[in-house]
Amino acid sequence: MSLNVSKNTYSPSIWAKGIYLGQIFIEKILFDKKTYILIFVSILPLLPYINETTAVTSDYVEIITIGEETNIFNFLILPLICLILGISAISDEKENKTISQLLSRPVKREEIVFVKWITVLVIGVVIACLDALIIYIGLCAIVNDFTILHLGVLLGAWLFVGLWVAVYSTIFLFLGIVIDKNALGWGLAIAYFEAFFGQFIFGPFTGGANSVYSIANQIYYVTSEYFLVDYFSFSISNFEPYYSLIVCFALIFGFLLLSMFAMQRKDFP
Amino acid sequence: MIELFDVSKSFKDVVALSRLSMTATYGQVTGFLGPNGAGKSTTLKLIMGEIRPDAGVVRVFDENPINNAVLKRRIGYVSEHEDLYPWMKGKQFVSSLARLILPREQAETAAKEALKKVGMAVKGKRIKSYSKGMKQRLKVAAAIVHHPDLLILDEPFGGLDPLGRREMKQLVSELNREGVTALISSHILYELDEMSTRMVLIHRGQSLAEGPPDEILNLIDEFPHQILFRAQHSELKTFSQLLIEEDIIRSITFRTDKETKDLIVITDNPSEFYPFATRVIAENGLLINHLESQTDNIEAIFDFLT
Repeated sequence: MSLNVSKNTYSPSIWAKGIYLGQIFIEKILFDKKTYILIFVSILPLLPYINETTAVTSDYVEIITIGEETNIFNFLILPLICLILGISAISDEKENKTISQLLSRPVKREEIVFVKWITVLVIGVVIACLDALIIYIGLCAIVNDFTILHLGVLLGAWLFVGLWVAVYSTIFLFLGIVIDKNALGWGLAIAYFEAFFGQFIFGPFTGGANSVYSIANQIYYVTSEYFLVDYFSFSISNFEPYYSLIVCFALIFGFLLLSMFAMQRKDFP
Repeated sequence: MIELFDVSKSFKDVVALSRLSMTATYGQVTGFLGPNGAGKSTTLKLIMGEIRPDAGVVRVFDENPINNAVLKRRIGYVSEHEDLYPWMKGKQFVSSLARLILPREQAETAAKEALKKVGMAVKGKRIKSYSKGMKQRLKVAAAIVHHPDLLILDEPFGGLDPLGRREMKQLVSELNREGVTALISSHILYELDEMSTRMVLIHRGQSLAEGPPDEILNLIDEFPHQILFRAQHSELKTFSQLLIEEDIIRSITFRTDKETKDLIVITDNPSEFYPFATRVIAENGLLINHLESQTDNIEAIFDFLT
């Protein structure tokens, strides 16, 4: 028998591998109790309105995008979805040691990252869009008036949450690869620092205007200029809207490439 | 087939391997023996390309194993960890991973065959409800599903009862007869000696000796060996009565605490004792829950050898 002849020469395409790995990841998400905590948390934005039906006279935009007061959807649910999905994609496999099962198969490490990334985006966008839809319908149901909301807002909101999920999930995917211990805790700290304090810390450097250094602000700017043009206003001074779009895409693909590179270099003891 | 030359690996301040050199040759079953913490798992992870060496060269089938997808087609690996997806059923687990190597239909058939080979039912419960022994068998099934040329097993006997251990040994020997080369790590010498055609000793991150098992056994047999058996008290009592008259036994001691009943046997002739004890257990239908070569003693052997 020749030493260098493999018995098995079949190789599934990257897409087939993606479907199989994605299937395992989706099953894991369904099995994980964190998912059900997410779903529970998803209904939180509706709670303040249940006993205040008369207060729901403002636009749906106020709830789904940046509101005047605490905005639960943006500052709690979206970061949580992105955080849990992004971090758990690789970090959970490291903690449970199941990464060893994947690394011992004929799959390149960057393929694992790419497949996980696609799956995270699909699941994240689906969950976030479902949340947005639940809030949309829920608010209508609470006030029993479906005329206060507009389909354009919902579609724009879906694009908004899609962009948010893409940017933040990719960043958290990277964190999940490079951080070995307490990745979820680190991610949480970074998410809330960025979402809550990015503006306040960097705001003074931009003369009190919306900070260009906040990722959330970049997403709001894109949303205001491209997704919810007639419903929502937001700007970053001395910054063009398409710059924000470029920043968002640079963050997505930059962190994806960084994730692949980190995965290639990583030891899994 | 597997070559490590002057390989060193540290994790922060801990030196796991220090200029380790070893080989595993084609067609052989190589036993990789060393006490806990000797660097066995680190070595196997280097061979699997899961970690990179700080220095030295690792070659498998004359290739670098790091991120080498083509090479992984030829290798089956059972890690020391419980690296299973607990929500899956056994067949689903094996076939899901097989699909990364084999066409879908072939993966299903191969999964059934692999499960049958390790003595597991195709239809079963979810993995989370499996015993440790069943999980170990399942990991082996997932490792052999694609008919690898090289099988790497890290402590494969952990969690298996004496019968399970015997079946695992038979399986490895059978695969070897079919042309599979195997590298098997253990901290228990007599788990390896029957099926190994070659042996590598590792201690404190360095290779101590390589060679035929007989030579290694001759070295180690000069040292008394201590084995722990755990079972119901009545089973241990019967077992001890069957052992006590044998010349190969130096001493038998009972150790009892609130939760466990242990029987400690010391023998001067472990190479005869292990097959004898297995035979006595099987013939008398004794239910021995746990068998363990005492680590302290193994370490003493290695200290003795160094």
